[in-house]
Amino acid sequence: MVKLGYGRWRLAGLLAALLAAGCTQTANTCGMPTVELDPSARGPVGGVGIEGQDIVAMTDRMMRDMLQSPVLASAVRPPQVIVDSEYFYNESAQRLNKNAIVDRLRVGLTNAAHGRMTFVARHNADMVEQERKLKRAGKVDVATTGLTRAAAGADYRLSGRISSVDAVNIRSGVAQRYNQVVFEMVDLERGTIVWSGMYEFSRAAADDVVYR
Amino acid sequence: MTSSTAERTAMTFRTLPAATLCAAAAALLSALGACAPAPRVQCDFSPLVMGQEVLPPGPLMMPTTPGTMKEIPLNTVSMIDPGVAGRVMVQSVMAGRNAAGNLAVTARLVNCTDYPQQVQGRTQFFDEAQRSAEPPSAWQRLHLPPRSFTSYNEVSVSGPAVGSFIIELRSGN
Repeated sequence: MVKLGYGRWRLAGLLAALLAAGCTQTANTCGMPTVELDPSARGPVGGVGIEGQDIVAMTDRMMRDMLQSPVLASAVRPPQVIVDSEYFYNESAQRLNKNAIVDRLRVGLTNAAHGRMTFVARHNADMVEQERKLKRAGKVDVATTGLTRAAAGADYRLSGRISSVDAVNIRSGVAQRYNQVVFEMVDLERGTIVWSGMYEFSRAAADDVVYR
Repeated sequence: MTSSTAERTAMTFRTLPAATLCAAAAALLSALGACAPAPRVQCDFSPLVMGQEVLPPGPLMMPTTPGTMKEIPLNTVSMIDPGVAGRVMVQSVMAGRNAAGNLAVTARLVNCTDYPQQVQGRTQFFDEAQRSAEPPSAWQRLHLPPRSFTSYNEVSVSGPAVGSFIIELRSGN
């Protein structure tokens, strides 16, 4: 074992103290400071799947397209529609919160429709039913808009599917994915499709990311 | 050609140095290339550069304080990314009302290069007072194969309130 002299012990102690001081003063030196990002543009982390900018782009496209449909946006009586994720299926290889897509679509439509469509909040059916019971039981008053015989039914409902086709080059590690998102509005009486739209793109990358 | 002539020609080629033969082959290939038809899509950006200061006819967006910025022509395409300007050319811009009373705009774009290009486009719709009639549309990605055309299409959702527009283009590469 090598014996250190007094001077060397002092030097080692000084270095240790400097190191400790350095660690406490500069935290997270290798990290990245928080930055604000444009949700409609690709950020510093990107892969081959559906990302924020895709959700912004696809919902805007579908919203604009739906509002040109004579059946949906130019009817004499505004149709009552349901836009939720109940029948919007994710069959792609990616974990994805479907509500991020349909919620943005519904909000965009609600803001832009200006009464051309009426949106039925079927995703909040429990909440509506509870309030209706309280009113009819006399536990709360009838509020200002009055009572109706039943909650709103719907003429049309959103359905759709997210699909993907994956390919990976095992030598280079490059991953490629074709993503397809289909939107359809279904007539809830006749079962016909009155409007449909599709958003598709293909991406390849060597460094894929983990979508959560 | 008689057999003796063919033999003489073959002998001549055999006796020629390899470098001379290679040079002759290269010249022949070059000549064949020169004869190949030029691509149909040919762009000339020089009138755009020379006529940059000339504003197109039509409505303009004026600055609040005169002289602080150049007037922005409406109902046109604005290349917000200089990287696009030398590679992609706007061939035409069209707009019209659809059956729902919304303004449908189309810009026909040309890839002037021999390489695939990607551009992104969005549209800002304004009312008669040049206020934003609605939020700008989301960026739309367009793929242009070499020397090809493609159309950028967008439609407003605010009905007759929309009076003018600007299409913005940026690089999508």
